Amino acid sequence: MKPPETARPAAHRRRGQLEKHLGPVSCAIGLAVVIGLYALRQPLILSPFGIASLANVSVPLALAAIGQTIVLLGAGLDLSIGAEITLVNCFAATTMQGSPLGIGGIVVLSLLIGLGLGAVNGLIIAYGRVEPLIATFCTSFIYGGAALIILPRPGGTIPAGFANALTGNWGILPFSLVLLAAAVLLAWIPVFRARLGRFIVAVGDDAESARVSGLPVRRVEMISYVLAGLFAAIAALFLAAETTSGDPTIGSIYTLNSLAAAVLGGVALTGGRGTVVGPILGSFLLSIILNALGVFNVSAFWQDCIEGLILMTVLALGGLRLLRGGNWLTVLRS
Amino acid sequence: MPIAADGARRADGADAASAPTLSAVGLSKRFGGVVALRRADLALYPGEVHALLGANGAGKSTLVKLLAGIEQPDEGTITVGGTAMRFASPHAALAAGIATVHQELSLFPSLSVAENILIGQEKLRGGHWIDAAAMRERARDLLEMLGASDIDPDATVGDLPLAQAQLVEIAKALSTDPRVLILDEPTSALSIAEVDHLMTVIERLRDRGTAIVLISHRLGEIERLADRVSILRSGEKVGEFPPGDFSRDKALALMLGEAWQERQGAAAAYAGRPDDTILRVDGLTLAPHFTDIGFELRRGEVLGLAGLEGQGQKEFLFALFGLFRRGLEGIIEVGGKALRPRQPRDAIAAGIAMIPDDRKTLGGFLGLSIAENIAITMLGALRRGLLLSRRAEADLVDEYVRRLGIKCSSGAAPLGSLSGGNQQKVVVAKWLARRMPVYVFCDPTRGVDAGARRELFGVIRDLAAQGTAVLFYSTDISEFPLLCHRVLVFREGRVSGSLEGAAITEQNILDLSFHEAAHEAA
Repeated sequence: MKPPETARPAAHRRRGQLEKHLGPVSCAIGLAVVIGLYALRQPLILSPFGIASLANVSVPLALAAIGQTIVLLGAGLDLSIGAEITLVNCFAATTMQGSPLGIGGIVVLSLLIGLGLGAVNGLIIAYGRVEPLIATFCTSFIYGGAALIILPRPGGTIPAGFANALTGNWGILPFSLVLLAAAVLLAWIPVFRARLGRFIVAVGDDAESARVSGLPVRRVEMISYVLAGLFAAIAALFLAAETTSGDPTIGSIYTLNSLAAAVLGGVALTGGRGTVVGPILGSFLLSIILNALGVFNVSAFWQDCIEGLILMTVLALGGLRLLRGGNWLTVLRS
Repeated sequence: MPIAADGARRADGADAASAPTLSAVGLSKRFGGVVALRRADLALYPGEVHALLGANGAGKSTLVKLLAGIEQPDEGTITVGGTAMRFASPHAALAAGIATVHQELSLFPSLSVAENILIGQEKLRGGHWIDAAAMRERARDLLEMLGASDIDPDATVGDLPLAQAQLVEIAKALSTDPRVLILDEPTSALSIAEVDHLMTVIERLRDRGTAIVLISHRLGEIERLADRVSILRSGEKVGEFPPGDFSRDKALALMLGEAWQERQGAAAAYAGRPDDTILRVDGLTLAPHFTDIGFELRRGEVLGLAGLEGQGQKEFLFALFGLFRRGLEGIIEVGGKALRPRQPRDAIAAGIAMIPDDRKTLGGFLGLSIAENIAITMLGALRRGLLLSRRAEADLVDEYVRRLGIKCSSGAAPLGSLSGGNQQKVVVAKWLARRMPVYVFCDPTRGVDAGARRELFGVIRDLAAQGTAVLFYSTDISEFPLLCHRVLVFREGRVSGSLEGAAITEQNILDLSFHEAAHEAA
């Protein structure tokens, strides 16, 4: 009787570790394969300029995916991330040039707006008890509509200094990767290595247990959306720098893509499980696949279909894992 | 065949002339290694109410589940109207004329009364279209049969008070015109006037020739309604009273068995200072769950809340811990300071920790690691600067894993991978780490094996020895004599009596569970 008793927890742990790292590891492998294939077709992407341009298309999605991941960890969902990006982007593009506050002032203001937009989501969901799906779907129209009021058609100006500071490169190290690293260091680590992050994961794992453990469940839910808004704002500023202008439709693709990248990176839609590395790798993988489609002569019109298919495939694979072990009750419940 | 269990009278004689509507012989049921029912016999006669009486876990619910086709017996036969039957499903039992009104109502709150009563047996017109008028008519007939014509068949069930919803549930059971009607604690949630009406309804059904099985903890109801009474204890039928022969004292003695006399209070008497009150509750009321609960809990004392299941003990503890948002009246004082718990945070801040009975939904995070679970109440103390100190966390977790003997490969293993008893220990460790002045254990041994139970009792005794106050609720009355300095027995939402020291015996607890306070302790 003794060996199975000791063997079972170990096997459990191994499976737990595997599940935890399955997303990031498969993303890393996928990324290597995709970059390899891409380089065979277009060797220039391994030059400093090529690396910088691949990083520049991937970083905004990575930022959005980190925001989405925070919300998903708390068992929430943010369908307004794309609209938040759009609104902050249009604000920055219309105000940054020649503002009396200076570039720094507008950057700070943009980040504050992102926090505010997230706070509105959080208030509606945590205190208004509206389902996240419905709440953020509605606010996505409000934020998107506000962006159209500020900037009805693509335009605005971004100072060249600001644009170059974010999108240039230093040898093979693109500035955009430095920005991403800074965002992770200054926003993710302080949250998830501290009490708040633990609370978010706990609430996402079991909100009822969190309540009887005395955690401030509503405040934690609210803060997760505020943080998502912050990361959306950083993504929006980067997009402004990259395009050196504003665009009232620029964010729309990031809603679904941020979800896809998070899920690809192993974040559980049911909450409580995920890392930060996974969604970042997932974002790079997804962005580079979409970017490579052009090189492989796939029409841009196919992009939406392919994104949807990727997301659905990943989600279905997650469901397959459930089918393997559980009985119907656990399958139907989750 | 009539029944002859040990210690019981034979049930034949005067009324053996009429054949039983249903007879069950030698029913046995095991769940895993636990015998829930052993060779039970039961005969139901037309026009008779047959009551089942027993303490928690005596096997009443199992017997009902076998008759209702929810579970299938491992051994034994059920004969209905002379034919042996095997019910593969509740539907099969229903088809054989056995209808059950379960304790938890199975109604659809957003459907109308008529739709609920005739769910699955809708009246159709032309083989396809629902005939609303005919359904209303049929529902009205059934309700009238119950003397409940004041219930509108078009009313939405969710809008009805509980007593009326219960009548709708009974009407639903009657809609199949059953020969046997099983009522599982139908009065437990009703007021006295409502109970009276329900009893009249049961009498009316009985007089129509239906054989009725009644499960109730209220001896008064059983004395008024039951023609026969079967007593169950630990999965066995230990006796049956034929019509006109019921006696409360004999029934209680049968429920307890012979072993009760030897089991005396094993817990030491309270040794602390009598004026060392840490928790004071006075006149605490939450309709309809409990009324006017009052006591003082002292440092180092283990106070048990006993009684049959569903008498308000659990709701009382939940209310104390802030799980009810409104409706709580009365006074709670912790350490001399008034507490109005509206959410668990309030109770925790005042110094009350709760170890709940359902680890899956209350208290444990199955997807998080053991370490994360234990540290969740302690994160403030584990902070070094802005970040959590992984080392301080690991030290804390190691200490409690060792102290409570939590069997796990490492603190990083997910809680969900542990056995029930070890999950329980993790939830306990989470609160021990916080060193609260008052610990509330809400049925902590449910589904926990004997070894883990012994260790848990050790933890509770240690807590008391260190001067912590403990409130202990359990559905297993044999635990109170082992653990508690004092026991309050709940009955219908009130404290029906209190027991201290050597007076804490299973018999006294059971006595108070069924009777009004017969011998109040000084």
